Amino acid sequence: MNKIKLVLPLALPGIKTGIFSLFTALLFLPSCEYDTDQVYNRTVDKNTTAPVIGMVELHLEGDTVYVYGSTDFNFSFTSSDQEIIGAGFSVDGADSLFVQSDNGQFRYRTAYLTPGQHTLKLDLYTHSGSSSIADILNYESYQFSKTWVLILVNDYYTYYEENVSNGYLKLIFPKYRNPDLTEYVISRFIIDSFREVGRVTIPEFTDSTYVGEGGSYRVQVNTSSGDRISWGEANLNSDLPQVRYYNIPGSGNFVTWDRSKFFNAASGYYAEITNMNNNLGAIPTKLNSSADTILSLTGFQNGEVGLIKLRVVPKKGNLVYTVGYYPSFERYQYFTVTN
Amino acid sequence: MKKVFLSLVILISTGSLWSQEVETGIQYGIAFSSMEELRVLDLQIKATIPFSTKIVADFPGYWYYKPMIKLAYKKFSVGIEYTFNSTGSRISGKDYSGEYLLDMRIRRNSPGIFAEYYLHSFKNFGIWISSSGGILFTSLTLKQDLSVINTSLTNNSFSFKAKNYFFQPGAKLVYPWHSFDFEFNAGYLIELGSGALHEEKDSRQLLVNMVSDEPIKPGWNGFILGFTINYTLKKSK
Repeated sequence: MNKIKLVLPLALPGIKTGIFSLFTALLFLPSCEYDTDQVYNRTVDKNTTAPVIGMVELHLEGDTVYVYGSTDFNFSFTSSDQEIIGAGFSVDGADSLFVQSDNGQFRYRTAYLTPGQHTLKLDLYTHSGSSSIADILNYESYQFSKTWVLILVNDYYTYYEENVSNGYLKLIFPKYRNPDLTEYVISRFIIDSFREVGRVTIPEFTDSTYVGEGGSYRVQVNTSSGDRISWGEANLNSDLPQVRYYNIPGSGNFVTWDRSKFFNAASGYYAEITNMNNNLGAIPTKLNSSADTILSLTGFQNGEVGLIKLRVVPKKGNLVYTVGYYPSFERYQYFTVTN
Repeated sequence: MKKVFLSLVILISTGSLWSQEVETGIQYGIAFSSMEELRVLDLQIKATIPFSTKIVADFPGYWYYKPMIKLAYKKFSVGIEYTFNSTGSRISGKDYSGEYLLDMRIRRNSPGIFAEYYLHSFKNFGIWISSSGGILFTSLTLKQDLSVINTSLTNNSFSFKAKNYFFQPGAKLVYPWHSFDFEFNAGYLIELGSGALHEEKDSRQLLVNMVSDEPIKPGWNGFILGFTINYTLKKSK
């Protein structure tokens, strides 16, 4: 009990001391509110290394990127370790547009850009990987920057002219300038729809079956990212040989025609000559060389009218000819025999 | 309740004219409050935080202080009391880049009345049973602080309050010494009433469970262990 007396003023005798002690204790009440200074120190790895960034879109490997039309510009990145947070895009130093993505796929819309040359800067952000609060809240990251010259081309879609090279139809079209080109796909309109007739990796296409029958061609660009861009078209008018009649006194009557411009695509000609005066029926003639361009007329009297139907026969592979639609390969010409 | 409390004040102030003894005292102890609904709220908040955190303090038992004054008879006493008690919780997460804290501090101020009844004694120790009741005025402060790279992103503070009632049955062991009584107290506080925590200045804004949307009550229910020193102001003649 003596011990209590020493340490506790409450134990001192006397009513005043007792009251004093109790109220002294009361004074401490407001300051005796619960508080804690405990904190949870999170486990983080401050010593992370930057990830290796891969660019899946091949055309981004170059420093100059062509954007054709207002199509979306697709970016695809991979990160070796830390997750990608997003990417900021800025054009010509203007304010950056930030796009968040958890899979590294980004789409940049070029619709508002004016045609011509621009500078595109991309800042790619990945998590730091430290698992810190700042990392998780995207306040701490690795940044990768790259700048491209961006050339926006709006008038790339072209209407091609007929071009003949070495007796073949040759379509020449503008070059698709990004390295993500896979191929140009050429289709031709057959009866009621376009059907593919060839694929090339250079901007020209030779149709070894076209003989001047006219037709519509369409060119599309395939890219490695799976895009298919309508690249242009050619609408060709019929360009078949012109047939002429002539008489050589003492030798007889003839019909002749110019050699087909597409002579290497033609296997020969087929002709039917009809005497319109005797109604005896047409006389079919087959010429197996595109170099044969003359026929002798027999059985015609002076003043009689004849009709020649000349068909240019293409080599195998002409889809229009294959389906049996010959009129576009044929030219008709009336003539009057004069001896 | 106010009338009863007032009657007791008058009774005690005039009691010295006819009672056995008038005693004043203070009780210290630890209250283990359940805070069940606030603990659930802590877990719900923690689940919404995108980085790992930990509940480093979860409404632990904490000191309470209870001054009182009473009329003491040989085997019976009645009195008035006032209790202050607090506890709290903390959700914490800290690393080199920033810190997140969600602190809840809850306090109760409880005026009340009590009665005690003598049961038995041995070796100068007396065994009593007791019960008390009164009003529970609760105030809760909720502070949320998030700073990243020396920049404060969030720094919010909300204050809530609630009013409820309590009933506390208990028992005590008493050792008298000169003008003092030294007591060991044990009891169980039962929170009564449906008073939910609401915003301090707008009682329509209730603190609610994030999943069920049910209003949250304080949750002071729990065991109480204490030590009391009583001083006899006026002894019987």
